[in-house]
Amino acid sequence: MDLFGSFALLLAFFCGLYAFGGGIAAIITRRPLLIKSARNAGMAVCVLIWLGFGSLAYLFQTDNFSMAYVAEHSNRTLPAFFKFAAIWAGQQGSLLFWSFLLSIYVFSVLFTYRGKHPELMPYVGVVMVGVQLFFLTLNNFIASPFGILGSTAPSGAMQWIMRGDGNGLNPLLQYPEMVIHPPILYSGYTGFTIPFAFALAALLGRYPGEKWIHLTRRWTMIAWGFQGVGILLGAHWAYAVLGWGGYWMWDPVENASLMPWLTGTAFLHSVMMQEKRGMMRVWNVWLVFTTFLLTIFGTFLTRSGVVNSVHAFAQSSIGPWFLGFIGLVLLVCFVSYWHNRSYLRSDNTLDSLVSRESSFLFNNLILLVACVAVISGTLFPVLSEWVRGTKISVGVPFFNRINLPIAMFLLFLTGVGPLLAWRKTSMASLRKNFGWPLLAGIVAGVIGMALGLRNFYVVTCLILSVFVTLTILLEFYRGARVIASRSNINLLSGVAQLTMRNTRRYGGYIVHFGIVLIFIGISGTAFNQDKQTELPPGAQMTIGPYRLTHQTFDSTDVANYKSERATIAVDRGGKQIIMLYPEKRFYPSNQESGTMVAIYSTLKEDLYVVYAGHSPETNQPVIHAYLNPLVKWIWLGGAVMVLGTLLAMMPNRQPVLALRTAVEPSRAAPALSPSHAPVQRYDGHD
Amino acid sequence: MIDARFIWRLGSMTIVVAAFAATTLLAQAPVQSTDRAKALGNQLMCTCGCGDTAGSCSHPGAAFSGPCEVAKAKLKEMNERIGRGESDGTILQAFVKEYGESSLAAPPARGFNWFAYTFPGVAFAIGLVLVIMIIRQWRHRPRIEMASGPAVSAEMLEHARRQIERDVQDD
Repeated sequence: MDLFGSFALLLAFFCGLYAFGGGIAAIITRRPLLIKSARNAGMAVCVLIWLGFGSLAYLFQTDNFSMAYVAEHSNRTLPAFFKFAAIWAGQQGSLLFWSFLLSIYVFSVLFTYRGKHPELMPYVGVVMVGVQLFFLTLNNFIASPFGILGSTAPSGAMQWIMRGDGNGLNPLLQYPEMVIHPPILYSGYTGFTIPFAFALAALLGRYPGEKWIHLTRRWTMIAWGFQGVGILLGAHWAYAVLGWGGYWMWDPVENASLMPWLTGTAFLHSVMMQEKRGMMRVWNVWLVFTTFLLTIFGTFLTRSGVVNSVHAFAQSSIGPWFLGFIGLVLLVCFVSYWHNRSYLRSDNTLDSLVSRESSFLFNNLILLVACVAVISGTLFPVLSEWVRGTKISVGVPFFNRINLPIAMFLLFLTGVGPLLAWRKTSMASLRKNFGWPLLAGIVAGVIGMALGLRNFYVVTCLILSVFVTLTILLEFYRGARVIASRSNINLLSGVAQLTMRNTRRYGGYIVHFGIVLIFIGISGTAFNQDKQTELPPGAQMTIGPYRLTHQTFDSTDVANYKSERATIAVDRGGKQIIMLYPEKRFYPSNQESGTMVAIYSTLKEDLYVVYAGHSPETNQPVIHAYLNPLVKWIWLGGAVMVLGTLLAMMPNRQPVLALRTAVEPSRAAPALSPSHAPVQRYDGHD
Repeated sequence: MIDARFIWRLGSMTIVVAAFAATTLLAQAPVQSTDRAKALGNQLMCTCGCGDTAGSCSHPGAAFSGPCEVAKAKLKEMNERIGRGESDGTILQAFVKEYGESSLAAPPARGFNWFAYTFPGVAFAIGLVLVIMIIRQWRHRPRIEMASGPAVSAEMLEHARRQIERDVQDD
């Protein structure tokens, strides 16, 4: 099976070469047969990658420890679903996984648009296959997961080795969320290849109009949605597994995933300018290019060892390959732009500074500044070492100091932007849309301060959260009330109808509301408390309003690990509310430990209990309890964002009605009367 | 138009929710005042390789998920210095002297490090200038005039204007 997988990947590489070369030839010659052949070769590449990936999965499931990669990341007692997750636990497997997910996108695009958009698709195919070829090069020649364990016999010949058992999977990855977090995050990373391919293709082929934007809108939203959910799942994993009480530590790997999400968010907003007004064509193309380049740059950071991170893969020589690829893509993008820049000229005008258009410009500016802040903070230790010869640390305090003001400004724009009218917003409209929400926000802030809130960012966040929430609610209310009164239905049905009539707009509002919830959750960090104490069975500790009683302590041997578990009774005001079971696991296969945090989560706060192990000094069990306010709002906000994204991807339920010429104008009376003319149905969008 | 009663209800509800949120936050005591060493520890990196600060090192993967020996030693030293009445600045300086600048979780804002703090601001300023230039360019771009064609009567225009006003009012 190892040979099969290896051969499938090699064949995929050569097939990719043909699809790439054939695609270029097809663009030049415009021969239909060649176009079809290149497309089919592109699809064959994907199928071959699936076979390669499937064979690696099979090798893991069958405990084939003659394979170096399997032996390094799995062992016999590892549960089957973790054996599946072990595929992407290391450098080689995760690169194949990247290829695998990319191939699903590539196949879907080639299959969906087969025979459509003949002017554009050959270019799209070439770009997508080009990216796929880069990863296949890595999969085949630089970091193959199909290497076998071997040693040199006394005769000098190579002999295969079959180990009895493997090293096992890193304990930090033996958590159910780790089975879904990397696939979702990688789906985001790889998904941005599709809008990139369409943007470059449209530029290379001088494809007219905004068609490529329409074609890629849903693909971009899928990638963006996956990236966002992947980031949040990663944060939740860090929260539930690492046992440090937090969810985000501005680690380079976390930052790497945030960067393309920020530019992708900017693109999703600015693209509306192009759709609505034909503006920002150059900007949008470069924003897509940047987003794609940041996905590659992000994985370069994770894999090259250029920055220190607990999440990063082992240091390897793969970095220069990524740098070379980034350089090549940048060159191709720049040359394509330079040669075809006249095609991107837009001739629309801006009527007013106070308009949706300018709000998008500011939104993009702030999102990009946030991205620049994250990049500069992440790379500054490297730069400092390079320039001054001394390495410095850039940790949480630095990132918070730089990013909090930016985040507040973004939150403000989240409320303001959507309610500004296209072209021009009058003062009356500003008062109508923002007057009450702003007043309510200020009142909320004053109440907060009167009650003792003193942290500047917490108060600002409170004001802005109330402001943004009210602008969104009012927007729903106004639209729903009109529909309810016209259709004689209740307000709630009006809200549902309104949302389904313009899913993109109202889905977007729901996403914004999700962002507000996340901000509220993050603001709770200012009030975190924690307490660590030795807690032998029978002993008690208190944190905030909770009293924790260590009732019993037990240890068990499971196939894959040994576990020590504390049973903690939690009561509040003398009333028992829950039993918590924080756990410490020891994995003999790789001689490492892991924590299983116990969390009592409410909307108000999380009681987060870690069994830290036995104190090295006294050998007594140590409990570390945290009281983290409002954390649940973050996950709730994530769920709301997913809901909004899904909604925004749905077609509008009630189509826009447009008239078309009557079939028999002589008999139809009158020809353009709405009541008689046949109606053409279109899907409308904001 | 939105009626005033609805606005008052919405406003009052928001204020109640905000007050609840504020009370919720206030119910939590602020950072433990006795734990100055820990607050200082959050400004110093734990050098065990966990990538976390000394104040919050949980040492993932180790047998004990508390502060590791390195972090513990730093926290102990901080406690001792606090006991001797040293100021926060003096304590941090002492650690920088002992472990180097990389022991700080955020680089001190001086010398070359200024670059890290000012770069996003400079990027914002450059971006702002660009945005202003773009807006100026867009605003001064000559408008495309309508080619000659069938004239639109004042009555038709007025009718369309009224229709737009009605639509906008409803929205």
